[in-house]
Amino acid sequence: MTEHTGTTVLLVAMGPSTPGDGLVAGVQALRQAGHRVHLVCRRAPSTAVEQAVDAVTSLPAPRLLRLGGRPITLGKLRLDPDRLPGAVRLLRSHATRDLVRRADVLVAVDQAAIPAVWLAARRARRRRPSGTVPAAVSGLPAAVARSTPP
Amino acid sequence: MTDQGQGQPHVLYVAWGFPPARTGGVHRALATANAFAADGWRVSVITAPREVFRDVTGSDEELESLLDQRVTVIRVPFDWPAQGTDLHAWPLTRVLAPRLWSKIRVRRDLRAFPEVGYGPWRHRIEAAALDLHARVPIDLVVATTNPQVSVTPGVRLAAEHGVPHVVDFRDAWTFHTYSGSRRLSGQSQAGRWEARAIGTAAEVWFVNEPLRRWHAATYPDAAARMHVVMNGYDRDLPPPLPFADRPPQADGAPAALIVGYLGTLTPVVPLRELVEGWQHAVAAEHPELDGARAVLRGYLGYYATPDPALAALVDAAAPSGMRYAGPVSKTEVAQVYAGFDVLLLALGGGEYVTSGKVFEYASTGLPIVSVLSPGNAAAEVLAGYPRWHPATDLSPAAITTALVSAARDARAADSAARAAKAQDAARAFRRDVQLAPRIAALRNLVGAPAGQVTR
Repeated sequence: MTEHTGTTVLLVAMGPSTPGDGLVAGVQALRQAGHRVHLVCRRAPSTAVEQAVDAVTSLPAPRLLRLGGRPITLGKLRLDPDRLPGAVRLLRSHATRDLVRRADVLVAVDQAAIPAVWLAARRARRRRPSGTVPAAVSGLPAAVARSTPP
Repeated sequence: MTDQGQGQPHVLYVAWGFPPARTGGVHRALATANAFAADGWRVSVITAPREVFRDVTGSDEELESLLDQRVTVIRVPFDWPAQGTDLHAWPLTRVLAPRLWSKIRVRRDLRAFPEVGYGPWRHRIEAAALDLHARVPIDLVVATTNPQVSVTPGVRLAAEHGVPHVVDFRDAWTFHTYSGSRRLSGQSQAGRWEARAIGTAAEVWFVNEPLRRWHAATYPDAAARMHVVMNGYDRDLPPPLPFADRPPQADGAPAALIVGYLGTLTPVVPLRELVEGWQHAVAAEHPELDGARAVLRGYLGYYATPDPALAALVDAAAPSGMRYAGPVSKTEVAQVYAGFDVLLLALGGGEYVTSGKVFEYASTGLPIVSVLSPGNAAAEVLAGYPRWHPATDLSPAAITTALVSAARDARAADSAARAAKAQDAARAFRRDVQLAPRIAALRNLVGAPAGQVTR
């Protein structure tokens, strides 16, 4: 059993696919380094991921009026209608806002989670005293590289 | 222009990937800087900051300890926004419209120099080189590529101050080494830069003869200034322990023959073939491979976290005695080789691709099983190595034959004598042996031949 250092890494997966087994090695590396790993996701993770993390909180997709459920395309610009509402939901939902507030490291596990983590990081910069602002990174490999000894 | 006070010629070495980077070619860069220092040159190195390697490419802190203390390292700020993972640093446009942001970024990169990601570094390294030249006159610039932007300080110092420069093409620029055809036309911006760099260089180095030949044919006016500086190994290793002398295992069972791989396993390595070949060999129950195990060391993929697809391939072979045992620091290499009885060399690419690993493998004196893509240049290097056991193709049967032959070699009664002969044969592949003639020629070029270091 790994002893936690008290540092919490919050993984955020907002994409439509299941957080899969590719995450397991990274999660294990973080836990071996003494971090507590919590996953927030839209879709239930694979069994291996669920077993690897300390806790999972599901955050269903926001209900939006969507045009056929597809990304909105303006010329060459494609906008995923779930991205920003998903970000707001992460910060405001009862189930997740305290997790975000207490996390030491915020990780956007997939592209869809980037607005959510970016927004959470900005909010933390405004609200927390300097020195307690969480790290915010894109991708689990980056979180592992920064949060584990070389 | 040599340093009259100390009688030292001053070389500026430009290498984006330099210790503690664990990027491709870093060992060649380290060895080149050290070889110039050992030959009595004052050596300054322009490279990227440590954080770039720590945060993006992965780093090996131990590598820095191998750098000659006399070398001065100048770390020039390098922004790599596309690889930046710190979301605090991301602008809103990147968050909301990543493709648009990326398009704008690429255009900005190419404005300074035709190389995405690295182009903007040009102005910074040119300024650093000019500043250094103003303080401590530079006699020679050596740039190692890729990234290709590294050639720019040498080209500029040659144009403005008449300082000779050398381009060390570890890889090719406009030529695709894997496909063997042109990647960028000679009329493209990159093509024109390549022509300019080669046209003004005092010497141009390549890692193998096929690459030199292609460039000599493309730039015939510069052909006489083109040289092959092969990769090599850095330090002699002690003779390997013969398998027969290995102590029994902890439970009293006889020692298991260890077949080892050491190196980065990327998607271009024929790993699937290697795994299938190993499984086939074990299943065939050859007595030479009785109880043998395969151990893979090094990075699995290009990044610090193992590539899941490659990891899954290796995991699936666990029942046959194959396992992945993680990366190895450069300082642990000798110890890891000492635990192997047979080496596996698996490489992708064709006649233009030579891995640096093949030279280090040869320095061990151990039997080497090669699993190579057809025409790989490593075969040419290994041709004179007496303990080479090539798989004739990538089929499981061919790999099995090579493994059995190598295992027999490792178990031979005269294994120690065979290893000594193999290590002797490999000595020509020492990096300093490869670099020495070129450094001597460059000493003459800058007017500081050995023994007459002031002019």
